[in-house]
Amino acid sequence: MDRKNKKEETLFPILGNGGGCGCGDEFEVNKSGYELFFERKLDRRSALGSIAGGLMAGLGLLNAACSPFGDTEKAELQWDDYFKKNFRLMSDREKEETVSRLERLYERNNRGSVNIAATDSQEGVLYGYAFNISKCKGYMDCVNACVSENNQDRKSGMKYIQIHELENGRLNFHGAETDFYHEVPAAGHFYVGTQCFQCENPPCVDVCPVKATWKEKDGIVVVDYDWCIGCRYCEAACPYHARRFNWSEPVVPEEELNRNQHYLGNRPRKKGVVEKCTFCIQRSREGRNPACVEACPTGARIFGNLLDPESPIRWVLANKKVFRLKEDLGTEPKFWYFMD
Amino acid sequence: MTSQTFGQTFQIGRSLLLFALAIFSTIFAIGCGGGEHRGPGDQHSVMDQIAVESKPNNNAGLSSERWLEGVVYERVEGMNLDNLDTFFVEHRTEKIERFNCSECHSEPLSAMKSPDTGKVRAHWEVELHHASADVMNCQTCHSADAMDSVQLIGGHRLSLNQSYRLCAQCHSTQAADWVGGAHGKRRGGWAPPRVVANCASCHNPHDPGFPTRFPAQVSRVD
Repeated sequence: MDRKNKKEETLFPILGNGGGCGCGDEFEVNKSGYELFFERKLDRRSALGSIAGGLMAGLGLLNAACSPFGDTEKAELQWDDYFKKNFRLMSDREKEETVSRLERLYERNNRGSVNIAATDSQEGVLYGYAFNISKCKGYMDCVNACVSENNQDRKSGMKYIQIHELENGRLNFHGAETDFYHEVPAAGHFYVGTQCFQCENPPCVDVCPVKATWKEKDGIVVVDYDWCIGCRYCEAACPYHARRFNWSEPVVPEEELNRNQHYLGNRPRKKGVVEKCTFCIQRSREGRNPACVEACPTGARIFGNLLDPESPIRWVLANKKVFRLKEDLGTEPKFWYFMD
Repeated sequence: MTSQTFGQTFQIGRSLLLFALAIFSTIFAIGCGGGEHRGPGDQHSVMDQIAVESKPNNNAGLSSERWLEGVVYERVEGMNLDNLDTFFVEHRTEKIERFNCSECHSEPLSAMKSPDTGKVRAHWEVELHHASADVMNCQTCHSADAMDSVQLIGGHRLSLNQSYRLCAQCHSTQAADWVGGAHGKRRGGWAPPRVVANCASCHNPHDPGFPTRFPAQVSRVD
């Protein structure tokens, strides 16, 4: 075994069986291709890469071989999808290829089809939101609109928006009721909605160990669902409880699915990944309002471009007494509250 | 201490100093470089950033026109404010079920109400829950001899599409918020043109308060 240990770094020390198993004895007798491959000098990274690659190749072949129809197209699509890059590293062409591959895969796996966009952030646009706590009546039409727009898991009842019922004169979330079902507005109470505030200085982004979440140039904090490893650090780092985790495979009935999707927005997620409000990125980047803003029957929700001095959101910031939650943390949310 | 050992000590001291400087500058560079999401030239607060980066009428060429299909709107008039060139309001007349009113109100109200015709009261669903009877009655807004329009307190007649001017007579705070953007509902999307709902699109003018009702969902988030 001594001569083996003198080699600089082969694959075997990494695999951890460099010691007395005796399986390496026939090496160096005849240098076959197999031996040449396994005795290459490898760094840790490429070694792990080749192990993972080999495993996937094996599984892929097994899958293709066992499939009764020999569905090579689907296998190829899945293969390419598995080895795609982080969205931020993709060129425009790769983004196009990725979304069309996902569309094709959806068609193969389901009855209907979907339209997935990869629209980039636009120059001169920074999205901001204002919430009028005098106007909100707690009707919660926004929550319903959000769930159906963003294809949230119906089984666990996931919601991005939370409406808090607070007693008049006390803006304190500790005494807030968030589990109410009675006629609203209740006498002597007011309502405050929370969701992802798309912080300009987002702590959730800092803690992600795999760079699966980041802030786009237009200020929206997004998640690459295929890059997320589900460690939930971001969920813990968020001071506003804005992030949600898929504990089980999300269920959205085919007939309720919103087919107008964005890669960083409402495309179907999978088990074990984190998701959150994206100001309806699939809508806002097309000039539309987020679904909650459109659905609000009282006009309590205002959305717009913070960099346009003529926009209503700028008028609110300039003319109303606005505040943000936990401002002292320095997270700089782009979500302001105000009252009439 | 010999001069040789002093020289060695000096050299060691100098290299230690350089080493410390290198560590300090690395820490400084990392500390001031900030997180990756903070690009160069970014300001400390988002309000400062907005102040620096704002540009008038720059919305990346995005437009709400596409989302305004089927919405009939016109320019806001008579509000004595400066952003009216780019401010539009949704029509009401296309949405009122029994418009034009003159289709029934072909003769003066007094004639239609006379006991000879047997018709004493129509519009049973309309009950006025708006201010007190001392302040308002039907004639505050409706004129008996021009049923297709509403009238201001001074007698000036308006199309129902301009009823926001009627409401603004008393509700000046709400009107200012509406023109600014803090009150009301936007139609289409956030991008220009700015088209908003009329007052009566959301508020029943005869009973303008919002009713209590059961919420559409239970708010619980786990």
